[in-house]
Amino acid sequence: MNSAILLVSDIHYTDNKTKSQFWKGDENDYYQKWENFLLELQKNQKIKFKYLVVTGDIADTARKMEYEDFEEILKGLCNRLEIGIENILLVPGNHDIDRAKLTTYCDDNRISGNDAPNLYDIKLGNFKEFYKKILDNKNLEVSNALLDYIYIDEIDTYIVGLNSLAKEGHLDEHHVGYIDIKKLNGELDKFMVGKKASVFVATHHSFAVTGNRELATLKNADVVKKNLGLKEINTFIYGHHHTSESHLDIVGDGGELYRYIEIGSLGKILTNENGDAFTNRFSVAICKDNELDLHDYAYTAGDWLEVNDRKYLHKLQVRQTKQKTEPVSQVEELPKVDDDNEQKVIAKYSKEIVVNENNRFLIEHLKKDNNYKDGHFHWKDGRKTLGWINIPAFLGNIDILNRIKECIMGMHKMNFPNIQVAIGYGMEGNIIGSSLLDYWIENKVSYHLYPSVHKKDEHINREKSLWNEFNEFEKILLICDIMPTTTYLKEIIASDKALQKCSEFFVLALFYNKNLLDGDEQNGAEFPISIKRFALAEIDVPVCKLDKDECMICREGLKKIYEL
Amino acid sequence: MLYSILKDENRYYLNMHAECALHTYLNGFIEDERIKNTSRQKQGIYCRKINADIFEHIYSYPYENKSICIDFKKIEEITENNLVAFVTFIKKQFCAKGKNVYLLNVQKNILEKMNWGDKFQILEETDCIVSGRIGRGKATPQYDQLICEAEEAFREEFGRVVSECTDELNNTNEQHTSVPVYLSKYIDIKKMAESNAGFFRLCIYYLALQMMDKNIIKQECNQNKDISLFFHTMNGGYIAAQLAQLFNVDMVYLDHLGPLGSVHRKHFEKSIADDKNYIIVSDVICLGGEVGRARTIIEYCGGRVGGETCVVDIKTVQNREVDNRASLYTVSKTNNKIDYKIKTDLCAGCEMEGKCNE
Amino acid sequence: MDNIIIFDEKISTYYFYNNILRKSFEIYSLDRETPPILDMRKTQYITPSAVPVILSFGDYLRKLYKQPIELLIGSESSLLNFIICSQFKSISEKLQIFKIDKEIIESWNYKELRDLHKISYTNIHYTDVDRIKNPVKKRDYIYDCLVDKSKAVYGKILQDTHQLPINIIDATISSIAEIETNSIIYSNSYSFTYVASDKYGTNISIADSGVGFERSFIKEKRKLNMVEKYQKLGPKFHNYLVIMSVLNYSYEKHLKDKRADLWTLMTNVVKCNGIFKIQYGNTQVIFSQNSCKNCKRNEGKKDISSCVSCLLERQSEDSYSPIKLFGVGFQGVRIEIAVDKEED
Repeated sequence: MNSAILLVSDIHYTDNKTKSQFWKGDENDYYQKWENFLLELQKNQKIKFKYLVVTGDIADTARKMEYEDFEEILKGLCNRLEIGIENILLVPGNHDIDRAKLTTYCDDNRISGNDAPNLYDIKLGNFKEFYKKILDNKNLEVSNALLDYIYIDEIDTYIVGLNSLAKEGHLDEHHVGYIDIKKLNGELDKFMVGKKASVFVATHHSFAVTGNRELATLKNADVVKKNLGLKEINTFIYGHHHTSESHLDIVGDGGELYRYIEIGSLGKILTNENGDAFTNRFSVAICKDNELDLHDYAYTAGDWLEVNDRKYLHKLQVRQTKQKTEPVSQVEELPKVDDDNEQKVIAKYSKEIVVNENNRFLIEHLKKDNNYKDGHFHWKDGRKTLGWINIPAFLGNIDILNRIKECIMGMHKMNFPNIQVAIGYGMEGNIIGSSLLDYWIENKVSYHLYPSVHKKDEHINREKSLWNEFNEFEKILLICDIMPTTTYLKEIIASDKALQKCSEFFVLALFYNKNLLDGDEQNGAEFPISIKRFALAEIDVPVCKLDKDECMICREGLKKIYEL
Repeated sequence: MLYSILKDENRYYLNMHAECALHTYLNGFIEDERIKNTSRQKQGIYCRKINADIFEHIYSYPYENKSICIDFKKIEEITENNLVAFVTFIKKQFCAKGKNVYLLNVQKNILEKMNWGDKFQILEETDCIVSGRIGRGKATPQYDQLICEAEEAFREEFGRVVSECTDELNNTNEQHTSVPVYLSKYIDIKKMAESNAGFFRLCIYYLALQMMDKNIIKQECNQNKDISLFFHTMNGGYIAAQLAQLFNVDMVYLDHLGPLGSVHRKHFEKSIADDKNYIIVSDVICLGGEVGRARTIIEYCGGRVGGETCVVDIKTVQNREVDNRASLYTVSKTNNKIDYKIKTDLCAGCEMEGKCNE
Repeated sequence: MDNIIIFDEKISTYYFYNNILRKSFEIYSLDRETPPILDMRKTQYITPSAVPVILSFGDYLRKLYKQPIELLIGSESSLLNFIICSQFKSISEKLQIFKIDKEIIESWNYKELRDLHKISYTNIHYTDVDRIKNPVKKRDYIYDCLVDKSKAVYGKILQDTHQLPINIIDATISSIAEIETNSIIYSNSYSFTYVASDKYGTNISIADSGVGFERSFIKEKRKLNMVEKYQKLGPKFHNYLVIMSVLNYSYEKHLKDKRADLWTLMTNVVKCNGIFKIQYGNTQVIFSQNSCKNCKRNEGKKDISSCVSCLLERQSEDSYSPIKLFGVGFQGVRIEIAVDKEED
């Protein structure tokens, strides 16, 4: 013969017969049927109801009358079933709060409604009285978070009743379930000193979001669960929602298993929005060896029947085989890999010109905003490529310039880290070079600006002096916008004695036009200085294929033909 | 490299905000596009926080045995780890050697974290900012005096650099290229920039501050959206590129206005947008010929000129102040240490000959 | 097909360490060339803490098999929505970690989730940090940069409607920056961060798959004090001792010159009613406010041996053990922080 726990909730005892199934007197068919059914169960299932847990809303409006009437019924039940008072756990629900009394008290004593929830003895006064009477004068400290407990011998478990009414008052906004976690932690710690049994908690409000009614849940459910979880408490018994959707949930990164046992309403006559009647229910937990068998019963068409429709939890292990981490006999490790995240300057070698392929943004910027024009232009000095790039738009845009800076800093580190001088060639080269000035200073590179060799006038000459003869630099970087041809480079180097004295010459350009430099190779021979060329991006601007006689620009010595 | 460190006989002067502003590296950690913009708004002249790399520079500078005066103006944030190390450094490098340390314009919350206690003697205090001294010695210069001395140190150094870079024009009949006068001297900004790169950067910082004072550039970064810097010479480009980094603004340029009658790029017109503000950046403004032409071109293309800025400004006549011109060094009748002279052919017949430029 | 790893409906870090790693190891043992295919078609939800862990695991697999890893996602699932909105997808494409079927993505009309819940990653390709030679200063500099980023990216989430007090927000922001700094300094790999808040609290998770503590300590010629001291415990607790050695190093640094580091971070989190978990290799060490909040064992001591022994005492194989030993480990450091909302 197994012992069983009778789990009952939301009786809502009232003398309003339209609201509650329970009412006093022999005409109460409902109660009689229920009692008989319990006795039948005991016989058929070979169980003995030894424990009773009621999770709240015992009365409907918390009036003394309601408690007094129900007291009789409950005492009768316990006598019939022979349930000792030490095995009864009663937890108050929101309907056990005497709001009328609370309102009057606050008015009489000029207490603010916001402070009403703290008046535990007032709001739960009647419940307290009822408790005393049922449990043989046992005094209930209603302001505690941990109200009372019973011990289930057969499964070595305590069921602890918690007070979820810490914030319930008489004002409208104070209809919310809440457990005072600070109080709870302290009281629980004290309670659990020296106890090795498992602990389940029972309270009125829900610990899980049930159906669509989020309001039914404890406001601080997650925090409470976390705190209880740390004390290895993860079985929750509750009512309030009048459904019985017991279920399991795996939560937390530790794989903790939470068990929710929800108990339906025994007494309330209630329909939901759709007009469906909530069936009245109660539950039974049969104690077996380290296990509880859960059964739900519903009152349907005048009879009590077992139901399995909305239940997902039939059995639960009392002591959970806690989620164990695998016993580690041999630790395996996935192989170590070294980081291959060295910034790949994906560089393409194209006839001695190293192009950094990461700089898509330059090409994209070219394509949009009309920064590139087709048509019959020739670049300056009659170089015969067509098309025209709006370089000033690039370099004027501070965001693009900053990105160019980043690219150049990376390239400097990888490709020419030992340069001594950087020269900003032409207006454009100068802009790029000057914006990097703090970088040059930091890396002890001397920076100079140098106007284009093709500009000829007095003003420019003043700007043409490079460093004086006392400085001899060997490794020089020239920064410009478009990669110059070899011929042009020769001109540049020839323009100043200082440049001729270097031994390694690096050229860094924003763009390199492969078509322009294709025919370059023949001119490349015999350079006394080692020249290495780098570009950020490669473009494919066609070359004017017209003969000198056929091309108007060449013939007339024009620089460009503008769009009309 | 410390940009703003200057010294006179008594002490060093260091400007923390200048250091933060001039170390304009972009840090590569910020991949997130969302914050790239906000982060840029906190760099350059708008920075308010000193990062660890600045302190690294401060610790590695070769100090002589002098006191130091550090100005924390505009600095609002320093992380704890940095403060702890900074205080240790100050104690070791200066206090232990009996040299005074002056901390000016420190925010009170930062000073608290430094934990000087009684050692910090207050010189000047407002609601949130306090300046004081750590060290002993009876004669303590006042706050105003320290500020003046710091400024004086800069001006002296700058004056020296300008004199160094001013060349005699050997042929006194050498014409200015854009305005028809003869000049006696040529102020070689290029030489200044190339041989004193770090100090010149500091000058650009002070120029930037002046621009903010004269309201040519706004105090908040996001108010500068319609401002662009305009320049037309290589020196101007050199200065403007650095200013653009400090303010995070765009640039527009024209390749040389100088030689009369040549404008090299017609496409320039398209870059000037209506109603945008352009600030003309030059190196030296002499008679204002080039600047005037630049102004005309910009206004003709539909833009507005929000101000002018230059390193050296030659004030040829009195009472002709240009409101929105920021400059760092003014050559005028009363301040002409470099002996700058402007002559014309008409001077030969002038009754004041030989005496006008005295 | 043997190389498919099927993920459950709900992925938590626990599930990942316990199950997924085991499967990956099995696949690798059978065939070292073929990368696994990650099948998340059944998955509906990844816990916030697990998000960066999955990304860093993908990063690791990419490095191991030298190619992006295929990720299967159900076409109707809310997971797809999450992946797009939280930038999981864009980051994995940019770093070439995962490849996801384009068609599925294009056909999904996603609705924007909480805008602030985005994954961020730390780029290790910094061009100019190397100029700072002093390692302490280098760390400070990286930290300074990252704290700005943290503020900009996470400041808003943390200031959200659930009213975390300001000092906790500041502490959290600097914590995130500290951990990311650590991952740059120690591990030389990408590190991924995800911060998510809801009305109950905040979850912060930072994961990387770099060389980890041991190798970097050896590289910097630092001693793993706890490993030496407790050698007799055997190889089973080796990783645990490495973690404690790192914390010890940080503790000593804090004692010496008050520097804020991992140790102070852990104590701050615990003081603010949070849980701090640090995972390295196959071992996870958990500090929770329940056990560590008011702990005074280390007062006056030179190292954290008392911590080491206290945690060892409480170690067991159930889910409340502060030391969790999983069957399979992989390189990298993963830190999870969960802070509850302050009770009002």
